[in-house]
Amino acid sequence: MRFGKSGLVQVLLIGILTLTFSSLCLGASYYEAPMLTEMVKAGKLPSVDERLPKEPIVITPVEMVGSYGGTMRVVTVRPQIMEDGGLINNHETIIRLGADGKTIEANLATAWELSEDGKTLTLRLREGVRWSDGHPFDADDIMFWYEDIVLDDELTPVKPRVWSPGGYLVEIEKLDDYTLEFNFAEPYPLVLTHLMHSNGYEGGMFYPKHYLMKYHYKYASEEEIQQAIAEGGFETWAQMFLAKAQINAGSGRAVEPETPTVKPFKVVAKTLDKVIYERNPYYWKVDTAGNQLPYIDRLEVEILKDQEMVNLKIVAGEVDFAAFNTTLENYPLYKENEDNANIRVLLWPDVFGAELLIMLNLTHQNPVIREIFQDIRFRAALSLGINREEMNELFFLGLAEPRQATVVPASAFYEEEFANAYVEYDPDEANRLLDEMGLNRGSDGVRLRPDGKPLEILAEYTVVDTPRGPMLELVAEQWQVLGVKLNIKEISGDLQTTRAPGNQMDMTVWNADKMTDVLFPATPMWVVPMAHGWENSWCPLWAQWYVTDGKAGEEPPEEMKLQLERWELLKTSVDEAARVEAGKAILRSQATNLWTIGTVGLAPHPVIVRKNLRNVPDESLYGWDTFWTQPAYPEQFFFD
Amino acid sequence: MATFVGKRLLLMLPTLILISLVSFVIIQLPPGDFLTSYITQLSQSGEVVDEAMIAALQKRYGLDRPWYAQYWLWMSRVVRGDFGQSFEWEQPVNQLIWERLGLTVAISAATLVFTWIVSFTIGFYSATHQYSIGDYFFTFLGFMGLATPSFLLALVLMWIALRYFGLSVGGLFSPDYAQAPWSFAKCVDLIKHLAIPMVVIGAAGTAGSIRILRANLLDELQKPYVQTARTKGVPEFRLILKYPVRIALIPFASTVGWSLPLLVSGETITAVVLNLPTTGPLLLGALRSQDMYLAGTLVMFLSSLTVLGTLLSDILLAWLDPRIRYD
Repeated sequence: MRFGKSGLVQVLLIGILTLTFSSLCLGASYYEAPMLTEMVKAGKLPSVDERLPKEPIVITPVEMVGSYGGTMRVVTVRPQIMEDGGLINNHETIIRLGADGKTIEANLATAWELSEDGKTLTLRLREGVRWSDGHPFDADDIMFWYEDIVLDDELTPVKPRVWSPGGYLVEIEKLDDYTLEFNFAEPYPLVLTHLMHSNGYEGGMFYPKHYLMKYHYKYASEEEIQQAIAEGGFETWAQMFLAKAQINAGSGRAVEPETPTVKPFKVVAKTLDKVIYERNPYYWKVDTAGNQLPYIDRLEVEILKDQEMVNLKIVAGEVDFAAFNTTLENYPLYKENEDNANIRVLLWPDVFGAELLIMLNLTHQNPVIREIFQDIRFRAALSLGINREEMNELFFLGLAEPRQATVVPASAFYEEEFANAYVEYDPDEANRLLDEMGLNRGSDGVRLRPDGKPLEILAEYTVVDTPRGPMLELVAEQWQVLGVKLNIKEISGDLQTTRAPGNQMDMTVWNADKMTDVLFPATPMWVVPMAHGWENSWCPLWAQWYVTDGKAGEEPPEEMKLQLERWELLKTSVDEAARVEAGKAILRSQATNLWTIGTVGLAPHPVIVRKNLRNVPDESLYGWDTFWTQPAYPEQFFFD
Repeated sequence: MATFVGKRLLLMLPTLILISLVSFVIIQLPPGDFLTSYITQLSQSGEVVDEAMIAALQKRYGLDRPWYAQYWLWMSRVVRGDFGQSFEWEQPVNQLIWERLGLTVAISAATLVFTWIVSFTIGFYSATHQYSIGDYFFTFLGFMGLATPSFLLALVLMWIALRYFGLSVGGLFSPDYAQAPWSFAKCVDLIKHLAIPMVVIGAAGTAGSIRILRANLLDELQKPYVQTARTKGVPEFRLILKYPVRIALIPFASTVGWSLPLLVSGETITAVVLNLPTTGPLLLGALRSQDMYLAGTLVMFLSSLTVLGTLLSDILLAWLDPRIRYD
């Protein structure tokens, strides 16, 4: 893992400070967008120098220093998560990923230091960062999260696992206005991952105290609270507060216009089918010429009601940026319309270890099926029976990589043999293995289980991200040669949410994200039974056993317990070499045992960009691990 | 008449309460609740949802209570005109529905008027000029209209607009007016945008109504009373309007009731395709994600309108058709 090759423990990492040129620091004045200059002249806004922190982050533009202006038009079909709106107005985290998708850079924090024993983290926040309403951002905003939200039993009945290594909730102390100390019960080097990626849809570890105080019973009067509850149509105080507090939420859950943010754009209006953002006048980043970012004035997110409408808007040239809903299947369509829609189609490599990850339920309720599934020969045969080249050609224009489910090559835990395990197409060997297991063929060519019933597997899947249905159909066809009958059924997300954790599935599929160094160490859910969620149907009972501390579910076998131990080491060890070895051991176990079966991965993802939208890198790592566009620095996109 | 209406109004109350209860239960019948579908959304983007988050969310949405408790809480607020919070949109239901409902009524009313004017004129012409070239032409057009699903028509129109005019149809306002407050210019802009949805949504209805009017009128035109009137020398046009048309209009009157609920849920798929900010897609989305209070409110509206519409139809029919008695 790359949290500092020099040993992540002892070194004081000073991120981007080196980029902050002295010429900018010493009295040099900054520049701002014309629309803000007008507001400054009208006395509605302090001058740009007063709005920016002492040492704003300096971002090196991808192509060139841009010019101000323009409206970015994007679309979403799920206003709850804002999709492309969030990809442009991306998360602002305490620390962040760099352009290579690996290095950690300073963001809201300028320095972070983990003690020798890995139990104490000291965080230094950037001085002078302001919320979009001009109020300073400081340690109180993190303390508010900790003391008034996390420690409040009504708001947080179950304490967050990621902040409780060893089962004890972190203790956070404010040293001064910009310095905080986190104390953990156990060594917790993984905390850096959470500083970088904890700012998900619901998470977030800082909240604008000055704004939320009037909704919190600790600070507000009873009447104020009751009034807010009544106005919003809420039932309880907790409901009202949690809804109001959902600020960092989402790359862009459309908050109300008055809610402060530290992102590049703030909501100014919501209409029936649009959410409109304007630049945040207090945004705390500048380019190399001292221009305050973002370059773009406005962001308009149109809410569509159907995914196909997105493609229509793209080929009609009515969006300036689109990535969330694009698919490689439609690549020819985009290409064909490049000129009349005035767009460029970029292909960004994605960070999925597998576009289609096959999960047989190893804790199946039926003992006969369970015994077959738990036999490594069976899983190996199924893997050898997949013609990955054909799959690659059919669905990914040959641009993806046939590989086993494992981390991406750039990972510190990667070994080539992990990716090559059982990936060759060898139906003969597959059939030999199945014969050896004693699964004889019936009269119709389908193999029979030991109890005499035909060997049929039902694959249930939900439509998300990758073309799962058609890919499964291909797998079914290829497994026919093995005498394994695969039935396919599309189910709704709701059914998936109850059936997978309920141990009711034979098999499901997902795309193997969380396979980079950013998220793999924290969530190796495809190979370690650590997450009892709806994506996981490969070991629901073992995972349940783990997350309930053995109160429910089923005790996993020895090798699974070893996986959990290795993961514990990976999470808590402060010895870099030991951590890498632990991570590799987890993946070696996957490569020999095929807990889940990978197909093809690392496919390119089409990104649509208006021709005159500049500073968009030709290649950038795309996926949840990188918050999709974080390594591309969307705040420095501009219209030429 | 007054007692008839009064009795019917009284009966509406228990009907509505029953409907609200049944619909609330039905909304909750599918496995899981709003939370599961919300978690689905989060997971789709890669987020791992842990127990802490689920517990907090349950608290936030009040989903840790049994359904009857949820129903009771909701109903006791509905009585006060407060329809609760939409989980999905995180806004009070009240805020969400009124503007959409207004637009929906505008579209539906325009469509209804369009349908009636066109179908009445053509139906009248077809019946009085049976088997003429014009009749065949409109019959052909009518069957085409009946056979083409409106969303398909919408898709075809959109494709033509895109292919030949390079613009995407959809929405109800030009970008300039989308955020503007209501004004005369905005209304004009809305009317301009209403044409396509009106034609698309109205096509099938128009075709159907043409056929109904034509068939009914043809039936009546042969009746002895028409011939009597004709022999008495009543001018042809006045004759047809005064007697047979009145009878032929009865089916229109009896369907008025049904068009009221259609105002809310009408042509959902077309609205999805045309990207109209109306209540149809809102209801669809709410049902999909089990956003109970929003879905419940919309279903309540639907059923109230159906009940009300039926009453309206009955009154209209009683007035139009002298054969109907009140007991």
